[in-house]
Amino acid sequence: MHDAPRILVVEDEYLIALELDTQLRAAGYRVIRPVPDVDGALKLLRADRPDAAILDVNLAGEWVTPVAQALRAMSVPFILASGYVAADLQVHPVLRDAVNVGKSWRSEYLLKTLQNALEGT
Amino acid sequence: MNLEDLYRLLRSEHVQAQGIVDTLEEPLLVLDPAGCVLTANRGFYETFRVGRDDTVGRSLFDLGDGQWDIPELRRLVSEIIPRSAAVVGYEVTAEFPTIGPRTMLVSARRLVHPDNNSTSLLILFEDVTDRRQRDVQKDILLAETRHRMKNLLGIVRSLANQTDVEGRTATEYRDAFLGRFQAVAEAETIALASSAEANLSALVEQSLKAAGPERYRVTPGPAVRLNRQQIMPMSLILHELVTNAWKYGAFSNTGGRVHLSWLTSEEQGKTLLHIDWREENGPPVTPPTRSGFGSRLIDLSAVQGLGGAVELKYEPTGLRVHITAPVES
Repeated sequence: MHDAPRILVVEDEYLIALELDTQLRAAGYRVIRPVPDVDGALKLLRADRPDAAILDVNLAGEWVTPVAQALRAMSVPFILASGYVAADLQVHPVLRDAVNVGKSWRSEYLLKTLQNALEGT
Repeated sequence: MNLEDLYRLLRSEHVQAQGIVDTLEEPLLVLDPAGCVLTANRGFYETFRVGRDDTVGRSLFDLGDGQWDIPELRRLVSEIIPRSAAVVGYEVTAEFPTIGPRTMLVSARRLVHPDNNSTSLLILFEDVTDRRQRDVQKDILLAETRHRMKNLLGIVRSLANQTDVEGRTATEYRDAFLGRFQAVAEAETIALASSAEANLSALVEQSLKAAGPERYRVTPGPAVRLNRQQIMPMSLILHELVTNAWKYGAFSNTGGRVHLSWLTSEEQGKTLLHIDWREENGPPVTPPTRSGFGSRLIDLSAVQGLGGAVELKYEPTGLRVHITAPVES
C-alpha cells in the first residue's frame, strides 16, 4: 500500500485520534501519527508534506487556524472534524470554507469527504 | 394662589426634580438647541469623571478634550433626533481617555418648554460595557461546553468501537464497554466538580472502593491536582488496572491485595508524579500472550493522555505498574 495517500490527523483527544486512525487505516490510508497540538503539527509540516489532513478545531483551548493556514500555503487539502458549528468558524476565513464532518461523523461520510478533498472536488 | 406661592412651588418641584435626577445612577445630560450642556446629573460627573465647571455651558462635543466628539453621537444629535421625538437605546462605542473603551446605549428625548416653545434635549446614557463583556464570556463558555460535550460523545464512541469483540460473548463485550464508560463518566463528574482538593486521591478512591477496604491499601503522597485533560486518562488507566486485577490478578483470589502509593519529584523545574501499583498475594502472573485493547488503552492514556509514561512488570509476587506524569505543582 505504498501508494496510499498519507493523512495528517490533528486531534488533541487521543481516543478520538485513535478512532480516526483506525477508520482511515481500515479504509487503506496511511496515517502520519496523530498530532495533538498546533506546535507539533507545524513542526511536522516543516519536514513533511501529507496528501491531506483532518483537523480538529479546538486543541485544548488552542485554535487550529495556524495549521490550516500552513496547509493552505502548501496546497494540501484538509477537512475539519470538529464539534463547532458553522457560526463558530465564521471569523476564521481559512476554516470557514472547509468541509466539517463534525465530531460524531459517520464513517462513510468522513471517507467520502476526505476522498473529495484529495480529488480536489 | 398668588405669584409668590407659585414661584415657591415651582422652586420646590424643581428641587424635587433635581433630587430625582441626581439619584439616577445613569448619566444624564440636558442640552440646549445649540448642543450646549444646560445641566448634568451626578451620575454623569461620576461615570465620566468630570467636574461641573468643565461641563455646564459647553458644547457636548467639546467636553473633555473632545471625548464626546463621536461620529455616531454627532449623527444622533444632528440627524436622528431632529426627525423624531425620542430615540431609545442607540448604541455608541468609543474610547474615553479616563475610563477606557465603553459601549453605551444612548436614549434621547426632545423637551419642549410650554411657555416659549424652545426645545432642549434630554440625553440618558446606559453603560452596557460590562454586560456586553459578560455576553461575550457566556458565548465562549457555551461554545466550550458544546465542544466538550461532543468530544465526550466521540470518546464514548471510540471506546465502544475499540473494545475487543473477538472471542467474546455479547455480555462480555457489554460489560467491558460499560466498565470503560463508567470510568469516563466518573472522570467527568470529578472534572466538573473541579474542587481545589487533591483530585488524584478522589480518583484513586473512586476506582478502588468497589473491591472493599480489606483488599487494597493506599499510601497517599502529596496532594496532586490533575489538569482537566489528565483526569479521564488517569481514570481509564486505574479502571483497566482494577479490571485486570479482578480477572487475572490480586482481586481474582481471596488473599490478594493491591497497594497503591504515589510521590512527586522535581525535575528541571517541573513536578513529576510517580504512581506505584503493586499487587501482592495474588495468583502467579505472566505477561499476556496477546495484547488486547486494554493494554493499548493503558499505554495510550499514559503517553498521550497524561503526557507521561507507564511500565508494567510481571513480577513473581504480582503485577507491578509504574506510572509517571507531569503535574501542576
